[in-house]
Amino acid sequence: MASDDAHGSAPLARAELLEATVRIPEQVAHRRIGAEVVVLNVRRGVYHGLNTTAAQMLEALTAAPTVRAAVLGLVRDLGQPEEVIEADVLDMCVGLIERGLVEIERRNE
Amino acid sequence: MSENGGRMLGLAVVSSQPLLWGLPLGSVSEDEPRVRLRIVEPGELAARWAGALPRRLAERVDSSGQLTLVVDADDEHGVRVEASGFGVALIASEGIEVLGVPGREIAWHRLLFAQVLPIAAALQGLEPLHASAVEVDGVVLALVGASGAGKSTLALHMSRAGAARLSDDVLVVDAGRGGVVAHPGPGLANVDACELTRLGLAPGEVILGRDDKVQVSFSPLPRALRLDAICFLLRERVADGGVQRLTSPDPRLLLAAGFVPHLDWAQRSIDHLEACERIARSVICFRAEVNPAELSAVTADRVRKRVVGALCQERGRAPA
Repeated sequence: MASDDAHGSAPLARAELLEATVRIPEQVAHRRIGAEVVVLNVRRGVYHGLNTTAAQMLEALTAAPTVRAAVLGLVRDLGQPEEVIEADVLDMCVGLIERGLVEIERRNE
Repeated sequence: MSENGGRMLGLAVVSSQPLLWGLPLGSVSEDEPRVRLRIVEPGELAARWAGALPRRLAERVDSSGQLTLVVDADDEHGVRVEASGFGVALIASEGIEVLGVPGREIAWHRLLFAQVLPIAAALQGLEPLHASAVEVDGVVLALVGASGAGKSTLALHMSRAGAARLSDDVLVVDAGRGGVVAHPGPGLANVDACELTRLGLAPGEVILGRDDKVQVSFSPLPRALRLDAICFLLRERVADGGVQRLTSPDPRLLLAAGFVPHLDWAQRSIDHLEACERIARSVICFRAEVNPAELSAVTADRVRKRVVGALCQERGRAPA
């Protein structure tokens, strides 16, 4: 899974992704417009809309030290089973990475 | 340079030649957005643009495939706008200076109002929207929509019913932290010929030209006002009898309301996003159905009653 500026790193396994840190790169801006959070990849010039739950997930991902910690926080906040939240969060991570909206720092970097 | 110029689109335009259809320039304070507009010889403009490595931001072609409008940009040299018959303008990167080689007088001014000054405003951090704006019963309302949506027509009908017009087709707002302020535009409207024939000219209005629309002068409100409401004009079914208040504005509609989407500076995109955030927070939004089969007067009346009526009611006032 590569960000905009990746230098050809191999895709992350889900287990590895859970231990990684998510951050929003410099070229990405996000603002709340109405009920959605709009995320802009300035380099690509594309706007993406996140609904309330997705926005909450993004906030949790960027605030927590690891994806796993974000998942645990969201389980508490959303009251959903861990396996459901984990699957949704990992899917969302993959989507955000593909769109250049987040970057991943592997645990051993 | 002798001080001519005027105020419009949020800018104090200081010009080497008279600027038509603007508000009086008056004294210009140091901290307000301003543009210095210099009319020059083609050679001087060409010399300033020499060395640019332009990227094409926008172009328009006519039915024969001829280029009629070209907008090019270079990060250092600025934005160059050329429209055949209208003129050429070079807007400095910060938007504070414009060099111009005018075409015919009215055409040159139309180029200024529709391209050059909105670009300059955007480069200075203001937000141009694709909107006409009116003030009705103390409510400042922006009618937002794509070309042909009916912005000018509805504004024209509302003006005949007593509304005051603030701007036509492009509305520049200052989406600062204290709220959203709408600035007067030039007193020049592009109006559908059939609608104008139906309504006739109001006192003070003058027909200045015709192409696919009629260019009509009008007297815009003379000061910036807080923007109270936005009504997105849509060619689709809208619930609630054709005018629907949005409890949460659709970000797509707001983002698409920008007048200069072709400006591709990174900071410009971020500014636009931030402006939309502030507009969503402080301006009440509506959607309105515009049906081409319905008389524009009926649509305008519905929008006025539902939008202005709702806001007047909230303020504890009866609409006129």
